[in-house]
Amino acid sequence: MTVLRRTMFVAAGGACGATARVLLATLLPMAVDRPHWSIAALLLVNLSGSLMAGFLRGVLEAKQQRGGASVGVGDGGGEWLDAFLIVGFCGGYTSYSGFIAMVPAGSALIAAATLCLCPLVALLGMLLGVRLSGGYPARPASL
Amino acid sequence: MLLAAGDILAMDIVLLRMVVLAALGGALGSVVRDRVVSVLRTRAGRADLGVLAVNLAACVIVGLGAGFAGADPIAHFIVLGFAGGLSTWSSLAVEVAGDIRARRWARIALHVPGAFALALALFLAARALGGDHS
Repeated sequence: MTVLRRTMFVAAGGACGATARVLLATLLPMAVDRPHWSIAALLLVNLSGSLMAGFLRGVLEAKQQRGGASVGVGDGGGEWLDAFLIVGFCGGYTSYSGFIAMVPAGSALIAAATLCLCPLVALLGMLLGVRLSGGYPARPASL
Repeated sequence: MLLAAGDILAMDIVLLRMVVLAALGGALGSVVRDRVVSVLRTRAGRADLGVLAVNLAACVIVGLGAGFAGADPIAHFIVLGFAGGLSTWSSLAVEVAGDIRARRWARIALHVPGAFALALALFLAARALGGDHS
């Protein structure tokens, strides 16, 4: 895949992901008139985004194992899956800066809970997604 | 009745503008993230440092933009869109999962508590530096 084509896929995925994040994490608390639900909504976004990324990564790993190291757009959509869905959509959908910005806004208890829960939820979501796909990310080359 | 309909229409336009600006910013932020991570992966073999760099940069941008009012289009484009698209949890989770499997405890300490503390400090410093733009 050329750099230009990958950039277009990532941009399109990022736009879709950001739209989904804004609709869920910003408009949902406004719609139910519960502004303090923002943290819960963003936690839900990061959980679902990490789960999706883990699932898609597992699918991609399985696809690459079946079809060799290089899987192109035309022969199964491996690079499309990576650029549009994993890097673009899931990356644009989940947000690290949004969480950091919310930490000082709440009480010390909420800040501590946010800092502890967020990495745990994202990691569990990712691992659950990989497990659901039936795959697992390849071991690092150093092992 | 007409006033209420007009208010609803005005609110819908504001929400639509917010979503469009966030989408455009998210597209740009995602492309910058992909380029930064790709460069660090190919040149240094450390995609995790790329994820760390974009997440920290996004926290600085959000801190600098924190002074803008919530309804400001600049805030929608830069804070909700660009910084949101630039930063990521999903890639961080993938990197940390790989570090757990490889038992790279120093990297886990860098990317979870270390990055959190640094990101929070950078956000607060940038917010103080940025001031109130509303």
